[in-house]
Amino acid sequence: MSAHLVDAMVMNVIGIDIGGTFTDVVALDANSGMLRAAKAFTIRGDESQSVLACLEELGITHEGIERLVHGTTIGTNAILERRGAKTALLVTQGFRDLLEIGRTRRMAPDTMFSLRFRRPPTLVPRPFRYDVAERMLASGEVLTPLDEKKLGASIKQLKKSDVTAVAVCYLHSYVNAEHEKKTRDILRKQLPGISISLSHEVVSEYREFERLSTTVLNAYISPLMEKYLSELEDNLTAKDAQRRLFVMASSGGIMSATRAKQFPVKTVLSGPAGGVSASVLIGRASGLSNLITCDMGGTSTDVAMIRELRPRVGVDNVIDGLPLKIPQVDINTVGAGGGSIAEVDAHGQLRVGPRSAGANPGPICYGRGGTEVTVTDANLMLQRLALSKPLGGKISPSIESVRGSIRSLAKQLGLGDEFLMAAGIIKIAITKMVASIREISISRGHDTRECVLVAFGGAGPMHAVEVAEELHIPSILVPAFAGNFSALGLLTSDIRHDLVETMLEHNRPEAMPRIASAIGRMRKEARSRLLAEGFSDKVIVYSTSVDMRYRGQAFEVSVPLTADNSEDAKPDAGQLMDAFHRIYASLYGHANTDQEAEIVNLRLVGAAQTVKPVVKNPSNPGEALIGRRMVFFDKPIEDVPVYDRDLLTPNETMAGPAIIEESSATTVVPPGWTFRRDDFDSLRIDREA
Amino acid sequence: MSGESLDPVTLEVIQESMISIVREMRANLIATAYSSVIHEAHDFSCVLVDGQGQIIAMAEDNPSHIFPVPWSVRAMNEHFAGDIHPGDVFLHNDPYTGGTHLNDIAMIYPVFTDGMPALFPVVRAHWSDVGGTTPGSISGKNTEILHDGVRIPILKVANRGKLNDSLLELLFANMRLPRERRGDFLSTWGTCQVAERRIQELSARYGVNTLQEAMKRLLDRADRRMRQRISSLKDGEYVYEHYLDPARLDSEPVRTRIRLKIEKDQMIVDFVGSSPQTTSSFNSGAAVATTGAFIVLKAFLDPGEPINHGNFRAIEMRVPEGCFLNAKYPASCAGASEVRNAATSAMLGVMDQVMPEMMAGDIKGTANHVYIGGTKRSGEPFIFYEYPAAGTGGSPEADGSNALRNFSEGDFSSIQPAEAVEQETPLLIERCEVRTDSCGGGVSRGGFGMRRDIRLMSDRGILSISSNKNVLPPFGVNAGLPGASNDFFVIRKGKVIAPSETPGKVSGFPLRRDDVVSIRTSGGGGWGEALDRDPRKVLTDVEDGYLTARAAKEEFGVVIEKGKLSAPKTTALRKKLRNARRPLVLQTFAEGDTDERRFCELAPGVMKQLRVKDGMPLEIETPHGPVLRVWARTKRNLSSEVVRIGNLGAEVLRVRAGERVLVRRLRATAQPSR
Repeated sequence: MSAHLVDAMVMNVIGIDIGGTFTDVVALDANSGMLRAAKAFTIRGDESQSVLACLEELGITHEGIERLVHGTTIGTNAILERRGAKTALLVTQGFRDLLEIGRTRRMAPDTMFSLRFRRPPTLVPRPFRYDVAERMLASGEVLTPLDEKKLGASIKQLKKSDVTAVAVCYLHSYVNAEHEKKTRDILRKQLPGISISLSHEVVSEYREFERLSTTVLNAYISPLMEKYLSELEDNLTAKDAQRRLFVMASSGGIMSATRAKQFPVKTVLSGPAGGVSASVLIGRASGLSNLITCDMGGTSTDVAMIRELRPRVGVDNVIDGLPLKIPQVDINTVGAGGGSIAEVDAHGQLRVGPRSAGANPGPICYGRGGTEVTVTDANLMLQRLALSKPLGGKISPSIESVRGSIRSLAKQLGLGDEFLMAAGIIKIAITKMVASIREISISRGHDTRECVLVAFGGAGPMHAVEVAEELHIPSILVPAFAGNFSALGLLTSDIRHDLVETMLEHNRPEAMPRIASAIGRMRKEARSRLLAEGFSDKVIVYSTSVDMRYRGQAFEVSVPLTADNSEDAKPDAGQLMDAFHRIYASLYGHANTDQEAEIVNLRLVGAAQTVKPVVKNPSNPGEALIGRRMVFFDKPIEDVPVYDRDLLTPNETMAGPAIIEESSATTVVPPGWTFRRDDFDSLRIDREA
Repeated sequence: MSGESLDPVTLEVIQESMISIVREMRANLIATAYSSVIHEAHDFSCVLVDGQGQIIAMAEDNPSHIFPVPWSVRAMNEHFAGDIHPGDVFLHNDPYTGGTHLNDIAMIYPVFTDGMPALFPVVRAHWSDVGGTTPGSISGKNTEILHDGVRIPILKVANRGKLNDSLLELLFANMRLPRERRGDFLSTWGTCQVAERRIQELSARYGVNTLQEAMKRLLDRADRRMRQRISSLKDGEYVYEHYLDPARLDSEPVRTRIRLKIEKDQMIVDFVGSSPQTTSSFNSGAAVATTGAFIVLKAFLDPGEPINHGNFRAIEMRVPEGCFLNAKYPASCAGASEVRNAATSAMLGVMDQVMPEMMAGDIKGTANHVYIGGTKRSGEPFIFYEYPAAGTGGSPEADGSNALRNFSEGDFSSIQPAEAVEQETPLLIERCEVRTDSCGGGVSRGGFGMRRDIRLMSDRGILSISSNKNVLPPFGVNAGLPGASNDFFVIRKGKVIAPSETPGKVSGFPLRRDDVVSIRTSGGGGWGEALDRDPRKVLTDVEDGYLTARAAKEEFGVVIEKGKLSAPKTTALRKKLRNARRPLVLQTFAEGDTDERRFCELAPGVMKQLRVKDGMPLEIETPHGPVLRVWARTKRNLSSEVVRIGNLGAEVLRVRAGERVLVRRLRATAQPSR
């Protein structure tokens, strides 16, 4: 968006997205809601310099910063590249190898019949895994008291190695955490300064392997994240840093840097969460409630389902074969992006992705030495993509650069010509995206015909209509800032604390007082955390839900308990039961209304609501039509108009076919669809009546 | 769109759509199931088949559930020809006509478009109890199918959408935990209904003709792919044989023999020479045997591609009538998983010969079914069911993995969370560890097995086990050593007792309060000569505590003193161990058709040297393939330089008469320890 003159002392909220190539900084004027953006090359190893360069460009000084919100992939990458801390593990006697054995599963896709699959090494090698004599029962009773003497001996041994983080996971600590807490006290005394992760603090839920794995992941990235975030604070904030640096969490909320240092695992896989948060904001502003987000980048596409403006948050996740049980916006990722490579395999089968040409060498049309046909090249072939602008390379893309390669693919497959071939490549990429959207929408009982597709990322707007057609989605929204939409999301997220307590209860009236008092307790805890982070009661909202299931089942359905902000929740067993049957039926097609239900977990979210950016279109439209060209849809169409997005007259509905260009993306509107630029500067594309 | 104009893109779209229907079925069943066998252990599979029962699409499902499905559908088509309607629901578990063990019940849900059969969703799920002798129904000592539980030949339980409640009540009344059974049944039915909606959407979208054409093309393509791979193999005949443990002390070990013929782009897998039907639980219908063999072919030839029925066309399976792999009433089939594993191990041995570069040590070779039944404090009954995984085999590039699902058994959990078990049942999981010293030695060693100890915290319990490779452990290849066997003990008041006189076969052993059931799963077979393993790798295993210094010395000839590797002593010991070996000259005699186990004749002196008596198992190793299992028989007047075996044994070994081979004792069954 255009630069905007600001007073020196205007307070800004800054969103920082540090990517592999570029660092994006988005600044929000906390008073006016105005947005500005800057971009710089990422300096590997000295990332804060890139951020400073952006701030300088925007003319923002330390004093003008109210809050910095950072989306980081440091933790994720450390796990994927196995660069975490040397970590030790203390675990209940008899379970030393649980981390390794897990549930005996491979947890890796496409290894079903593999004779050669090997379990990757665990994050904590066996010599650093210690048995601790102690045992709790499922009821929370102590079966074997903690043997402090033996524990002391183990710690002494541990001291000899240069371990910098310790994970502690005892059985049933989610009901009784006494032993874990005592162990922490002893560790602190004997190993001052070491990073400690307790399982009941990281995940307070049953199923020991998933809890253990998450706790170990937390310990593994703790020292690294602590160092990184502290340095960032030192460099970017003058004083009072604790309150001012926040980090994007996987749940879609943001958390203070202080908390992120303690629970860094909660930032893992938070990358795509920003786009989801931003979509909620634009959806709310635009009066839409059911959204499907489609963030298509170079290598992959992230899709998410948002119902009633609530993104689905799942807790059973996996990163690189390691279970990760933390609330995480339910995002499905599929290996189809602009750079996905199309090839014919040994059996004459056409494949698109998951192999990607990435940024280097990139698609053929980038002219950086790429020789394999990508989805982007196919778009160029069909002239859906502009010819005039260089795409990051030195050479302007030309159709001739890709025609030969696409034609030779067509020949291998016995498919008519290069145009049919290019359309086929795009169709397969779209099929993959469609399948991954189906899994999170239709497979879960959400009718796509009632949803709006929010398309962003470099390649999203180019493919959105075809995706929508496959899924019978009647309407598409391409937001402003489509290319930097995820960074924008950092500014739109609330500060969130997710609390959970396991409480196995029949859903009966007599259980309700216990539930109410537990919720009161959790609420108090959430409040005190938010107050400590500098927020006032005015901006804090709470929402609670219970996880319920039919007696005898193992997986729960989340049933909202309170949506309002009232002080004392008065849960009602009858209302809960009705709501549960209803939600269950909508998810799985049928309800067992004659059966009893039980409550498994209570969840409370305490959120400090932040000032939201106002996206409005201030620019004066001019002549938007910048050219015409032939474009291939189902068939070639001559003289398709090409528009400059920033010059479109607001709220003027026009009919496709059309190509709409902006600096970071191209939107393709085929025949049969109309489009207009709306009040929030989004492009709205609708199926013709 | 008409069938003829079907382009490659539409074809991919249709294939993806069908696989995603199966995925949706899986997610739906896990989320709504009542028994932990389904929601924690995922012991079920979903598939779409065509009207003839040909497999069209599956996802991350268990092949041993899916591959027999065509038989079940065939049974339905035969019995209900002309009487199959939309909304009908069929159940089937009869092992003789395409079932596996009775616990695996297939629900077939025919879906029609324009009055024509479209795609049929099928769910085969393990019902945690189907009646029979012991809680959980499967146990190692069943002798007739009536012990196994309720047999369902093919049964229509819903007619045009209306459930036959009294029939269902009859079924559930003959099973333990009927409430759970009913809940699972309804969840499965709901899952099929969801699939039906998706199939109808797909048909409406592309039209019946295009869909039929797409199915045909997908099958043809899978067929072509398989034939291409088979064509790249050398034509010829290959044979391997594999023995299950004896079902009883006095019975013959059960032999699976596979003779593979490769001819251009076709294969014939013939089970001729396998043991006859048994009076133990180790029998199955032909579907199970062919499944066990096919899984190996898929793994060797086409592991990365989606499966459909086209994969089967180039392969002819012959399972002779009357053998234990093609059993008839009243044979118990409670051990069907064991039979499937036997077929898998035998086929593995064959393919090791065909594609030596793919060779790896043997895997656990059993389902390791463990059931503990009893009563909760509330008075409700419970059934605990696990089937713990074991070490996988070593291969040229890497050691096997520890306690991991292997390539033949899908990827569902084999153990449950201790915290879930302890919430639900009066059991305490005391240990879940890597089993020390259990690997099969080799240049690449096998993976280590698991030790899992479970204490009973209530007054009474009932233990049943069905397992194998308790006596004959997973084999090594290319002179690699076998892994430790699967072993099951009960520890009572500090004493180790065997819950059965026959290892691995336990039916209703009474447990008392504080008894500990100790499960120790097998190690993977080794690849290559253990004495050639890099001593530093052996040291690492010792440092990690997976291997004791003693085992390092005995199995690998590596001397570790006070945590340090002694290179000179290692070299000397390895030399000594090698020199102590006495390779024998192989002689053969003509062998006829026999149901007897394979004997090898040895001079009395050699018997003494090997410390074996008549009837004890031995193995003959070869540097180029899997071992041959034999039983010792003293032959007086035989030269002590010689070992005599039947000519077919030499064919299995791929060694000619006159060559020297090494005969060795089988790794002793683990000494029970506390």
